[in-house]
Amino acid sequence: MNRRLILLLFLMALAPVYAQTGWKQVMPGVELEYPRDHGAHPDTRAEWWYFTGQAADSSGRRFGYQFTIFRVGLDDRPVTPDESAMRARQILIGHLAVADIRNNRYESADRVRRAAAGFASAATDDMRAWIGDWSLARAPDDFITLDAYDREHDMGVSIELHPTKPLVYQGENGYSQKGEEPGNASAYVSWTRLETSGRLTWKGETFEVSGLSWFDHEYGSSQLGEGVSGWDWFGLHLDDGRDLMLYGLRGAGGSLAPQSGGTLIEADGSTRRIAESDFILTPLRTWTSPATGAEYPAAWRVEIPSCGLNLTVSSLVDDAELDARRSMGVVYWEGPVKVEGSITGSGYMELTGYATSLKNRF
Amino acid sequence: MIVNALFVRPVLRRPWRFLMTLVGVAVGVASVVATVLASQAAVRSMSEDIERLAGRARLEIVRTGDLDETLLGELRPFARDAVLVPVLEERALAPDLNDALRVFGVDFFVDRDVRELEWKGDFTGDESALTGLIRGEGVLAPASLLQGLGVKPGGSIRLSIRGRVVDLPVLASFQPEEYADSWDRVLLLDIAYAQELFGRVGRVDRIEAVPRPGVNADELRQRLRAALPGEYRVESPAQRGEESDRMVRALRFNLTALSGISLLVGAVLVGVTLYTSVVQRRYLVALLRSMGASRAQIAGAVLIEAAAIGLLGGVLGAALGYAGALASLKSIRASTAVVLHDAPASSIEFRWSVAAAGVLLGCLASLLASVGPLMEALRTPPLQGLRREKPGWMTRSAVIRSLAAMLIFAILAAALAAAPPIADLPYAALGAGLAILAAMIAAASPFLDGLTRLAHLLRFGPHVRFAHLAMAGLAAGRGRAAWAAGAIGVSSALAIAMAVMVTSFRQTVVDWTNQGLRSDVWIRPASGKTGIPTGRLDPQLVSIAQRLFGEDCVDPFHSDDAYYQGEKVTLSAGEFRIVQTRGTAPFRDGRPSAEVFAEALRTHGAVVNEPFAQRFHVERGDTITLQTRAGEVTRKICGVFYDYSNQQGTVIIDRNDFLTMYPNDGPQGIALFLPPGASPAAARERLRAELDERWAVDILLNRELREEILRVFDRTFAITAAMQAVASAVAALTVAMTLYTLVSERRRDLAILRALGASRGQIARTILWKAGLLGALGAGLGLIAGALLGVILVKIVNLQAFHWSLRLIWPLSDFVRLTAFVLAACLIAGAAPAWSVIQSNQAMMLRDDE
Repeated sequence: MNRRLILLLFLMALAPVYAQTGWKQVMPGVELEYPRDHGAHPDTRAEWWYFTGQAADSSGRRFGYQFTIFRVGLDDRPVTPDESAMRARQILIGHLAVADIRNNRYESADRVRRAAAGFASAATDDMRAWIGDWSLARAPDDFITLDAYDREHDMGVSIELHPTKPLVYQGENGYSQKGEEPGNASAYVSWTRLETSGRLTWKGETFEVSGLSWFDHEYGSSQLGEGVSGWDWFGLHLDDGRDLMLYGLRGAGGSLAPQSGGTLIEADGSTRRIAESDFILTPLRTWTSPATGAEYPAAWRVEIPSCGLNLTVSSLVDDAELDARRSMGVVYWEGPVKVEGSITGSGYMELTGYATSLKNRF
Repeated sequence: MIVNALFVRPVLRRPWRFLMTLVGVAVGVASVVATVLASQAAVRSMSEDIERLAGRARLEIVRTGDLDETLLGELRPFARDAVLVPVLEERALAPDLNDALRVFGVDFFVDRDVRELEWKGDFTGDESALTGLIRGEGVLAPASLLQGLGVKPGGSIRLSIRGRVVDLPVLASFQPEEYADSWDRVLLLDIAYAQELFGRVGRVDRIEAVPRPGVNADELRQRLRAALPGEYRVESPAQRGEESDRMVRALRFNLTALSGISLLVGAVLVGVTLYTSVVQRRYLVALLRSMGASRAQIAGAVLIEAAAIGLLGGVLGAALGYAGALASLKSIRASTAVVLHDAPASSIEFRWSVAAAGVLLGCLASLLASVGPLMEALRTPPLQGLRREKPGWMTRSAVIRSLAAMLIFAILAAALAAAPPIADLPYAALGAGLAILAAMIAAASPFLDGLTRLAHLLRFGPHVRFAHLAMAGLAAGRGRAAWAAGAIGVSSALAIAMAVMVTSFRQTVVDWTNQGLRSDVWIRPASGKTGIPTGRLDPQLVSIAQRLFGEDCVDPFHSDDAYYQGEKVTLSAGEFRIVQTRGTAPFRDGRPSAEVFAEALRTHGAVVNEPFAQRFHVERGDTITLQTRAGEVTRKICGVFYDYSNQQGTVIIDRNDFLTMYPNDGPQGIALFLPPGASPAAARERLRAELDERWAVDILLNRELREEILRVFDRTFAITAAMQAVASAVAALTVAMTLYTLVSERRRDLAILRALGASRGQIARTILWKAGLLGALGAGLGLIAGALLGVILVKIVNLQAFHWSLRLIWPLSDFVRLTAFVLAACLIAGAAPAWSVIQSNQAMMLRDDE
């Protein structure tokens, strides 16, 4: 639920304080209706459609990818009669990254555009968003297409995803509380296991790939509490068909904040919530970014005794730092991982708050 | 030793003479350097300016007028290969600067990657400047501009936009990564904010494209062209500049021609001063030669002197030229602003290349000018040099040769004047001008010879005996005297020709405004120091005026760019219904304006101005098709009217016709035709009372508008007045140098006269007569040549370069004034050598070794 805190903080920072009051809060009992709620919610301040996954070609060459579109509401004042349609009331931010696991290489790119006049758009009736030529869209049969290519780094994906488990409503039926106030919450749903196939372009070559992906959709208007310096998030596909989402919010002194937690999704799609007291996260190895000097835990021991899980989660490409300082002012680590221990598997890991302070970035 | 005797010693003995020669070279070089620097700054390459502002954008999508912003959506597939950047470009008056600023509406998300600017300000935190910029709450301003205005981020810049006063908060500043003064007058703000401020919601001026790495710009251009309908053009930013460059081409050409004339005047002056310098030492040269000095040694000494004068004069001239450019930039900018409203506001940059060229020019002119005198010095047999005499009269064959040369140049001038323009520019006509000057110089020697022969034949009474002596003196030094008369003639001719052109132009404009401008009150956007109104008016002002004065009194005037046969023209509109009864535009075929506008209203036709008709060779009855931003517009021409406000060509249609194509267009001005007997001043007060401090418009009465037009005109031609002054100064300097030579050459004669009992006053009068006669000959020749040059400028150059036909007016008072000025300058110039002679010791003069 709190997985993209650093980004959310940034997104909130973009919207001036006085404008906060007009944004719609997500309240307990939020009723989510699909496909409409796959679409954008421009009356809230922040929203994202987040895809990560691993896929391999027929020879076994494996890649990781991340493709995200963030939406940020900048202005909620009433529209005036002579207002330009080009007004940046909403902006969309795209992050694209590909990791070449065999060669231990990683590239990322980002784009920020106003949701207006041919720059970018996010439909409100279904999942259909684009920034220039980067796009994601859902078809009525839940087939989702992602299409994004960055010429500068010569990498991109053109893939189709299809969920193999039902939509997971995080928190209480999708109401995911983030603070003490009822309105400090987001609406949060996930497709934790999507069959993935299509083309992945990497450094002059195009690979026909297939694999598994993870999707989160979250929106809200809440400001997150003070004292959180960052978090560590895991989205893991276990080989027995279960999926595990786990996040640890790091409070002052590095201790886990009480809002930390996760969800175990069984092979049949049923879910089981994991509380902060149910798990232990122990860093095993660190990697230091040559670009920013930040030191990231690149391998972890994840223990959830109540679920019988004792896992070692290690990055497959250490240098997976996404530097979006120019467009967004943030730096975070997001890369593919392998799972070993009581069961094997694969997935994605996100580490935030290890680079310089977020708030002074932008 | 030779150098010492011929150069160093004379310089040490008479340093002021060396200095005068230096000043002569310096003035010539300075006039060239000043004109080149100032015209470069005022009419700097628009392409260069546009490229600086375009940053990394390599292509831009444009079409006639502007673009619909939805085009960006259609270009989505190209986002993979290029960053697409919409830009809205406008101008607004900053009352605190009394000057216009360029306003760029951009998308800050992408612009940072396009234009190479270093943003300075608070870009962190919740209330960051970037957020404010993106939300359209303020502007990003150049640090240099803020410094000049004394405004800091957090303050605001006041602008007059569409007649309204707007205070724009300054959120942050920027500094071009590589300093470029193109940016000094540019404000950046969010494109949506700009659209709203300027009443252009939904429109952009262009979409710039920055190819992504590895994308070939030419291939991208071809793909974009293929994907877009034919009305769109995909160009490099420089191509837009080339179009603007074409518009100022005629102006640039004329300024360059002025530089050329400065060069000519300068070269004449250098020639005369060096000739003087060499001739003054003819005796010494002859002495050295008779003592065994070789020709090469003499030549070396003369050339060293020429090079030294050229070098020092060139350096001095470059410095003077830089100062002159600073002084004249304002005038030249005013000239540019008339032709191209958004000409880049640039400052004078000291350019080493121009300074070096100036020094080189000084050296070259000195060396070239030394050839003639040098040849004479070397050819003169030592004995003749020692006698200090030259044959007095021209031989018959020499007279025939000179007159034949004059005739050939005159025929050449006539032929060139009749030749058509080359590439739309009056090269041939300017060639004709040069030929006239050459003919005049060729005529100077036989005319002087004739004058002195005439004096010889006439029997002067005792009281004018000194005139006779003066004539004899001139005849003795005829070579120098003829050159001096020619130089005075060139300077006078240029001054006279400029006077003819300016007077003719000004009177034509006066007649035109008197006849054509009949509205009682004129409302327009506030204008800055260039006198050119900035932008358009809010359409709401039309409603206000109509409410106050009635619909039949209000004639809003609209204007927009259009293309005819691929060339940029102006499409304008006025209320034909009102103009028909109240307007009195002068038509070329003499038909009453009411008749023409009635026909245009009835037949859905158009009227065009004279530059349009001239440029495209069309006339009444022809049908023209314009490409406008509202599509193709085809109209029949009902009349061609005289117009001196626009040289690129204007087509005027009825306002109702115009508004169907451009709904909600803001007018560029509103004319009020009040009912007979109504007081314009009272109407203005009523309007002012209605428009409170939220509005910033100029409200001019008819008289004020006409005065304003003439003020702009006078400012535009201020540079010409400066050139006139330089030409006159050069004339005076030329006379002073030549007289000094002629006097010093005959010092011994004058001393003998003194010894024989002539009084100092008598001798001084001889010298002053000489100066006066020389001046009169030069001024007379200059008057004839100048009048002919004036005709060429008025009737040929203006028509070919600007498509303006002007009435030829002879400014007789200017002729008298200029002639009197040249004569007075010559007499004053003659006073110095006269004074020097009467102060000299006779004995010293008699044994003077020079």
